Amino acid sequence: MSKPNIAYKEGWFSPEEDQLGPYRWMGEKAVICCHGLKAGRKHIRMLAGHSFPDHVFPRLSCFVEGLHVGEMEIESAFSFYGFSFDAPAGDMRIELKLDKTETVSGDPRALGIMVREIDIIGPDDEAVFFSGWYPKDAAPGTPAGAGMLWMKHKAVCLLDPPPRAAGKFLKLTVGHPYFNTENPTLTLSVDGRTVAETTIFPGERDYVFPLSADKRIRLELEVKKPFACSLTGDARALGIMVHNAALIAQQEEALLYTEGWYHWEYGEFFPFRWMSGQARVLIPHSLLLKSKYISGFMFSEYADFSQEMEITLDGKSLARVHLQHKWNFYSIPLRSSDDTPLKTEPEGPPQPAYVIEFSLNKLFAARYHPDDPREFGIRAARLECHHDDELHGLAQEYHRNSLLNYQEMKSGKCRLESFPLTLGIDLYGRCNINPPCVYCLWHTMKKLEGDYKDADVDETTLREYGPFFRSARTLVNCSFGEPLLHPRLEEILSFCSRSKKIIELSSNGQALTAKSVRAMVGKPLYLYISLDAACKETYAKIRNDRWDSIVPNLVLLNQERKKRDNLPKIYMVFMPMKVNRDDLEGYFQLCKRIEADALVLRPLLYLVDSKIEVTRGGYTFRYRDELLNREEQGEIFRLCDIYSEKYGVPVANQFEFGETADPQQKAGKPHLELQRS
Amino acid sequence: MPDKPIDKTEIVSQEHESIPPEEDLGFSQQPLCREPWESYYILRRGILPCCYGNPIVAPMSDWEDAWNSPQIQEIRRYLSQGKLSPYCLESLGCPIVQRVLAAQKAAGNSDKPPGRPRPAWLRAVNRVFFGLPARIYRRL
Repeated sequence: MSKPNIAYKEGWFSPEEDQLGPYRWMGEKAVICCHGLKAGRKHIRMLAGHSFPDHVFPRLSCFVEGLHVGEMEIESAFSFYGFSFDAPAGDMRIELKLDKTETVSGDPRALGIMVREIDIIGPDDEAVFFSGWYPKDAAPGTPAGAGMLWMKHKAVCLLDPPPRAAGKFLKLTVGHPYFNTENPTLTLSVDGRTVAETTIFPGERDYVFPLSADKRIRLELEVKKPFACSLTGDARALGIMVHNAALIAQQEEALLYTEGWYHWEYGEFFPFRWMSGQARVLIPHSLLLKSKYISGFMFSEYADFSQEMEITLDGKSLARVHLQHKWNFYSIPLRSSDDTPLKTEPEGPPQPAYVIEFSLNKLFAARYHPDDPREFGIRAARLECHHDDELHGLAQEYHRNSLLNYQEMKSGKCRLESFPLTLGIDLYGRCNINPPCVYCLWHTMKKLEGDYKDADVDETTLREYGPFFRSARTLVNCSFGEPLLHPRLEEILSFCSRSKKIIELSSNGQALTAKSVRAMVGKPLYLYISLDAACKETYAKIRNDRWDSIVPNLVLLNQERKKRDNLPKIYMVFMPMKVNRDDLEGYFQLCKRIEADALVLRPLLYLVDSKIEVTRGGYTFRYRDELLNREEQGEIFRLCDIYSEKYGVPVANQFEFGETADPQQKAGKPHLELQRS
Repeated sequence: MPDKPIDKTEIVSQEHESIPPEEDLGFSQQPLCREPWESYYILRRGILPCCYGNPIVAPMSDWEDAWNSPQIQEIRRYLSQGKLSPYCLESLGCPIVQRVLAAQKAAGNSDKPPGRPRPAWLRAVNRVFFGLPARIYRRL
């Protein structure tokens, strides 16, 4: 839709320009003319400010074809003002009048206000933040977040319903940056009728309210008490920050996140949202009727099961669960034990949707995230509804075992009733690197494996492990063999994924093919790629001459995983040794290039008086000489800190196996399921 | 083995004393290593109680019983008392073991280098036939 042509007529001074762009001064009266308008509801929006003293507010009146359509006080800082009116088709004359002007020394002009831009918004134009908003770049040093607009104490949005659907909810993404002050109350009105009122918390959060609309609405926002200038350090009266406002229609089969969630993040294992102490989702009636459970992976920071979550459906308790440390799968029943939906409407029509609320007994304490003062509870991956009784039963059994395992460990019990949470498995006993990597204990291990060397291990074997499999949170493959060569890789990973297990595989990277990439993408998998070299020369000293084929496949894997929740996670393993320590910076560069999630620093296995000695790639690898002493290790750690900062690649240091992470750095550290696999 | 709470020992490195109990994330009262409770490795080469374990504690086929085998129970017993078991002390690839040995060495608790002690009879044979102190022979 082409915008109407606007012409500045009498009353405007010549265009000028400052660091924020072009503008015009208007005198006491000024006129604009619009050409080629269609008939209908129109909105004129202008960005204006002035140079009167701060406490002076000239009054601007607007006349369309001689008809008075509104007036407003203009403040000195630039902000958006708007007037709405019904316009006939064709040309239109808009007259603007001020109640005062001023002259400044050396300039004989009677100056009114400065106007940077004027828009006419018609019914076919995109809806906008209309009046009462400060522009994003209005004042250097404004405490605004990226992409956020500050509203004044009153503001107006023009909102359209979603395409081909009636809007059922209003979704606002708003917040403010002031943590130790009274939170503002936001009142929302449509056509003078209040539709919602809510407290706005610090940080950027979504707020969702029921609001039916089948055509454009004029939403008025009001914050009764703007933030004090003494708090903001800004002369303007700031209301709240708004990132987005939209009318949305809930899909019939989807949960709708409402209050208490921060925005989606993608840096962790699963895409997730931080939940504050309380959060809600709306479940449509149709979905509630056909679902038995609500489920998803959640991450608690507490390792002692002391964080608990209460889940309610329209105020009725569904369950209270002890949350487990790290990512764990939870399944919560939506029905009573006799299999009837907990929420049905025997009388009267059903509600379109019901509220499921999650409440925590305690937060992730602020001391652990000093640089981010928002209220954090847990991380929650995508929530879904299902009716799979077997999956629910598995989840229940899993959580019972985890709690028992923790209690047995705490009490110092040695003969356990519980089963392990991490199950080491051995998927494949053959390798595609022959002769083996120079440090590999291949021949010793194959001798130890004896008759089991070629035993089949696949999803059937895992199922046969019974409670050892069902109780496991993580499956770690520890083969002396290359797991990506397994002929049933895809079936195994799919089975584990369906069983809500997190998988760890270590690979040499040479078995990455289109097929193995396809098998892995989208699965809850940590993939450790051991290269230990940043160039073909060093690689040839450790393994062989197939360096050139590896990196393109890593690039392919990275491209493909981006389409599927950025899974698997790619951890690039580097074992610092004498042979490769000059490759460290190059390895960081490689990690950056393939967008690895972390560089894993893994110790070369300590062997007493090892006799391993291999000449390869023109280099003689003597195992015992390759081990770095503590000072040399310390130097590697120091360089890792520098390169990690320089290339933006996180480091996961497996030399720290068994140590508790510094709690103050905890939130920012790459999370490793295991320190070694 | 009597069930008893785990004592905090000098080798359990924790720095949470100043944290209020309600904000403690729960790591402060845990054993030096949780692996023998939380982890179990069913591998072709045999059963291991942790990823750094050495040697194997049972063949692969014994996966069902080895979880509570006397050897793994002994490892748990030592850890619950704040100590490393003889099995752990043999698993020199483990960074926890390396740290504990380094800390003990720095504290003067042990002047033995990490590694298995040579049996007395071997030291005697060495002296008789080579006339060299074992310390030197070991370097050869």
